[in-house]
Amino acid sequence: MTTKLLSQTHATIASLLLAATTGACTTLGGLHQAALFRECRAGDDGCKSVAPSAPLAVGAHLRPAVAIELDGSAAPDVRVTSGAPDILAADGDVLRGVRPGIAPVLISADDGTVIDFVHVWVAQPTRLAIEAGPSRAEATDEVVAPIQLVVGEARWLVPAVFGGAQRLAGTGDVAWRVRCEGDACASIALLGDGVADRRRLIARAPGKATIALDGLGLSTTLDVEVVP
Amino acid sequence: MKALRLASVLLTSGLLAGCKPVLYALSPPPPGRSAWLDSKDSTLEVSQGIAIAIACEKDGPCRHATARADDPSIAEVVPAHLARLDARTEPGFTPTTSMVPATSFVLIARSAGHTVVRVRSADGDRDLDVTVVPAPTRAPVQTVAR
Repeated sequence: MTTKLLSQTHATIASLLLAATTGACTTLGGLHQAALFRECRAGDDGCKSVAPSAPLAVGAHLRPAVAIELDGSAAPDVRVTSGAPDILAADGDVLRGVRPGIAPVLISADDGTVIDFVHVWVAQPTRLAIEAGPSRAEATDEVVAPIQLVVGEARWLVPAVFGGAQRLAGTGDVAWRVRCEGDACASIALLGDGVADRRRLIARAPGKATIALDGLGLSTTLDVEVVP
Repeated sequence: MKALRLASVLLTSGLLAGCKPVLYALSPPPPGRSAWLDSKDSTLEVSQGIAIAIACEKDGPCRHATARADDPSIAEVVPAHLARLDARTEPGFTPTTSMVPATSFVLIARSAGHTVVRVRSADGDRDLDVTVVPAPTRAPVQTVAR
């Protein structure tokens, strides 16, 4: 029994170390040997704003990263599979929400031995919002009123998906569009930055325009006014 | 004489029952779901769509253990790796204790129904009666667009 307690204590310490090395936004496995976390590009702090422990939105996808901590062994070649593909599909290295529910995500070695597993929830998105900020890392404030910019100013725009009051994880196929009339179309530019769902809004000339965002069966708009 | 024979049969069957490996849970269910493994009765009631880690022990980790479900479409069992050593005591005139790797499996409850997971090991066999209960259903949510 003493040995088992020591093993459990050691497992707890290992899991704490695992959480510490992978950052706060991790979801530790049931066996405390691996963690799933959202994969972000180096320096992309805005990416880390959504905890991967949040439910994944139906229709959205998430590319998880796996961290493994095993006594006496470096991380083996692992693969991520879903125990309930009708709820959460694992397409290669991407998880995709199929319908609301819960699914175990299995982290297995190349011979099929399970190293750990994490239960992931999938939830129906109910609201689409736009978050904006002056930099990529600070695009975390939900826009609830028209934005006024001076010429030359820029904002980073990020879609945010909610299921009720909870922010959901994952990225969906979203479409950004600018609605404008006549000369007002020259007032703003909406630029991609290499991340599929994120845009950089640049104020170019005085005028008014509306940005429309559609995705995951939801839509929202954002009014922009550029002042001299 | 008859009573003596009955007592002998009961004692033998009791000892044999005690010789079987024991299965116990290593991981909790997620919120709102069930994973109740009764080690004494060797039964497991588990919610559909979740996974549970199970250990096999008899005086320590079971040796050369395998497990498979009669109906993998209801519950699938796969071997798991636990990076730890547990104590295993070999009974005898001078019992000895060895530190050996833990023996564990992960059971994935795939669909509602009943099946039996048959654990076979060099230390004896144990059957686990598994009942997978349907996942709770939720009322559809309304979508809101701003």
